[in-house]
Amino acid sequence: MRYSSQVERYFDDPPNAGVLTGPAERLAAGRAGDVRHGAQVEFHILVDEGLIREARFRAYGCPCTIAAAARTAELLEGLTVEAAEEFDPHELAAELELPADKLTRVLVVEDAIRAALADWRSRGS
Amino acid sequence: MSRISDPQHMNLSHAVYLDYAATTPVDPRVAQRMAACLTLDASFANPASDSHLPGRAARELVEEARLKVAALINASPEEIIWTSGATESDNLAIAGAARFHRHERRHIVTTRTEHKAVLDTCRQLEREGFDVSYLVPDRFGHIELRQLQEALREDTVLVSIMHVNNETGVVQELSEIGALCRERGILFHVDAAQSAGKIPIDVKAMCVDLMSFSAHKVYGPKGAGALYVSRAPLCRLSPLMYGGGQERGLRPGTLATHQIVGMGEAFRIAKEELDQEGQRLGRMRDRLWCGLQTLPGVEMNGHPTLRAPGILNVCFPGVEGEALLFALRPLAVSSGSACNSSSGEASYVLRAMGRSDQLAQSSLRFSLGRFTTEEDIDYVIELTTRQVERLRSMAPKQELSEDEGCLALGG
Repeated sequence: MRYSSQVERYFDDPPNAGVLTGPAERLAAGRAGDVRHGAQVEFHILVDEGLIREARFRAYGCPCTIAAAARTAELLEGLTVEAAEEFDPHELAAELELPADKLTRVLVVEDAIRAALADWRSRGS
Repeated sequence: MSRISDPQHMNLSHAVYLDYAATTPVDPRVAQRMAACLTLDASFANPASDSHLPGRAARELVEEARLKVAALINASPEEIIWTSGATESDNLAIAGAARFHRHERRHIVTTRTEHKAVLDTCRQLEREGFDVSYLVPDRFGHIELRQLQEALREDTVLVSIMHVNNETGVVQELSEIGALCRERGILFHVDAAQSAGKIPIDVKAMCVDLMSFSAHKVYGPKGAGALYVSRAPLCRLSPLMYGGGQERGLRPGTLATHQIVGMGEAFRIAKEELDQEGQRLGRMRDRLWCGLQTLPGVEMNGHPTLRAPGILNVCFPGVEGEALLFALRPLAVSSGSACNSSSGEASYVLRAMGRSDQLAQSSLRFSLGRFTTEEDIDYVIELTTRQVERLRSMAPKQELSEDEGCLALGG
């Protein structure tokens, strides 16, 4: 198995790994996937005035899953919630040069973002 | 450190090789003997060319190698048939014996944890109308004699059980199996690709009729192997190929003098160094296991005592197998058998031992060998511990801690 240099970089030294602490009313989180199916991704976001100030991820899965989650958490920071809704998994797959058979992993990442954003909206902020 | 260059990873110009169960480098002493069989000024002639001196010289080298292979396993040289490797030996032994006796007996017994060369040959024989029973090992990878007793039938022609498992290093005790088979007039085949030169073998004491060997697992060349075919009692086979009648007609084709000489020299060295090297590898294997056990939850896949010295298969719960392999890319290790690693599927050997798909997928095989040093082992412990901890810390927690409890996690 060969990985692109981007995957290698984000896998070896992932920015934004971990969780967030802060005032509960500004935090949201979402998770998708299943460890039993080989991939699980979780995002934590801190939102302030409609803007995602901070984002963190946790991921279980192949190098592509971990790299995709790390890159996504990095991209989320500074986006408005509306802009984050526009997340395009295919764009991420292209940027990381993921092989076609790893596309399902990016869909887990997408589901995790949607879960985090839904969690944020459910708080009625 | 015994590092090898890796042109694909220029930033990791060296890797610690711990995949000796997949293959071994040719010992320089072996390579030297092989080189002396190739060119005009060396023993290049056809060993079957009895009419001239160069041919007879090549024949002498081949017979000298046959003696060395026989000596390692307490066989007679005329009981050794040269092949291209253990896969061919397994095919010739199992299909050859089954087809020879097909009119009287049509049942074969083997195990779920055999190498694919055995399992796929058995599958083919099933298509030809044979019945095959596959014994399931216990969770330590071991087959009990009682299981075999219960599986044997009036029409059982052959039992095929490997000596040392290639993924787990589990050792089967052959003597009692061999004695049972001999008593019942059933042929006993053993795949000894992973045990030859690693632990003692005595085909007479073990009552083995057929035994497969590979040169490249013992610091010899790839593309060379042997099959032990017992003469007393006489074990009869149908050949897989037809041709010039070499090797008692069981394996025709011009003998590859350099390959055979390399295998002979490799087996000679293995016999000479077996005791000392076995102890050294056992100590390093124990050091590795001891070091890895500082990680919570790790488990050994295999038998606590019945195991070969050079193989350690470890399950790292909580880390995904592909990620672990990539995180450990400064090492040359594998997630199981090289023969199955391209499939991406969890190891059928570990599955047969009752491991879940996920645990099997989170397992790594470390296999140590002649050029492994204690320094290598310490590096492996340090790197593996660090990377497993890193990957585990990055994974979602299956139960949220108190301070994260306020977060509603879906999915």
